[in-house]
Amino acid sequence: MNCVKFEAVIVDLARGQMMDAGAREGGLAHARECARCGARLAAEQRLTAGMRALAAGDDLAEAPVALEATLRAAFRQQATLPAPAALTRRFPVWPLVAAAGILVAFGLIINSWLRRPPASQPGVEVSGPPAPAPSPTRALPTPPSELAETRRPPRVHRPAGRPGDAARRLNPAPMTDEAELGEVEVATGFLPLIYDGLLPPLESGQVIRVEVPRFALISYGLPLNAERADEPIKADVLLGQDGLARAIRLVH
Amino acid sequence: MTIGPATASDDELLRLIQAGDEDAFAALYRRRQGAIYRFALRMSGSEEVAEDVTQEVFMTLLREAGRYDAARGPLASYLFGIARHQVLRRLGRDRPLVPIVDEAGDGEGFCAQSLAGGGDPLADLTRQETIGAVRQAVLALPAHYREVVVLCELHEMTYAECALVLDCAVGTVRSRLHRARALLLTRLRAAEATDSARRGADRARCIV
Repeated sequence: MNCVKFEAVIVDLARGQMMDAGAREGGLAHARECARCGARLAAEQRLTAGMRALAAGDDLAEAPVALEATLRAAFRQQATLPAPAALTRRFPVWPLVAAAGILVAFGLIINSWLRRPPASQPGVEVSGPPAPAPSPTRALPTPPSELAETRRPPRVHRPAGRPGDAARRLNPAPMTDEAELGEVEVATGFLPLIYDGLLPPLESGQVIRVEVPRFALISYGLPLNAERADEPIKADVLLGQDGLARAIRLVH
Repeated sequence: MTIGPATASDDELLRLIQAGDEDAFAALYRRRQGAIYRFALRMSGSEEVAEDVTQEVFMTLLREAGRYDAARGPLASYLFGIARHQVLRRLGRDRPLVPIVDEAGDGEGFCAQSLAGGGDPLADLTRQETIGAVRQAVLALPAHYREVVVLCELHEMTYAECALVLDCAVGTVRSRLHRARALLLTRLRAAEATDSARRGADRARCIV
């Protein structure tokens, strides 16, 4: 073994580490032959002894006894609180924020829609002052992304699905059984209704068609055209398995 | 047959802790607090920091017990990893407040000849001054060298165990330890030289 190779094993030699027997013997033999490497090994061995003396000197050091009591109290306190991570998983905030944003956006769109004069159209119940007839090719001049054109199908009872997806999946779906096939109606997207308390997940739902005075829209947080407050308006309401309205859309 | 907290493994205790068993928490604390406290003490040189770090380690375990992954290593290594993180954070934060180690020696008349060469090693190494000098030299090391020295030399961890705590390769541990020991010897030799010079000057003053 030469000095370079000896340097690679000197720490293990000095620390008494388990190592290859051949390397150990070779290293020790080199230390006996080379004065410089012998002195290096001696210094490293003394350093190891110093380290062990230091370790033994404070080997009994421990945390203050009072710390255990503090931590036990923290443990008891922790045990009485629900896990923050679980709370976050069960009640995520972002869907509520997203729902609020969607509600505001739809509110603005519906507000502009309600301010338009009513259009006379076969099959659509309209009351109030007469208005100019719209173009026959368009039921309502509403942005296509916001209003879904649907043909009336038989009423459906929705099977269980993921709660968050319920309103979205119902949007383009057929809705009512009131009109004949071939009759065109225009509806907004479903607007989720937000309650103060937390609702159970939507497991099954039913869509019902209602006709309500426009001022009733206020209770759903929708904007109201004051001039037509007494006029009725059709709406589809999505009822959950608990009978609570989960979402609403306006139908024209 | 049920396993009592005293005989249960760390992983079993952790499962009991997650189920709300306070005795299991106390048992795990008693089993591991000493090593964690000493690690923090040897890394920082401060009993206050060591106590804070020990508390924070077990508070973290309380809050985030679910983050421990047994497949990545034993719970003890996980706890050392938290302690290391806490110590490094404290050292970074408190750096301006840490008293500067007197490079000229600790003022106790210690001479490091027992480590750097000469004298009877066994006799000298029992001296408290020697221990103090080694402690000061360890504390003066850069943190990434110090943690390897503390874990491998003072806690007698294997290279593999140390690598697990530091989340690095075994080869990195070996090379850092080699370099750290060289730095320690250099510092202790310098301390010896300074101490010899001071004693020589004191002797000369006495003669004059």
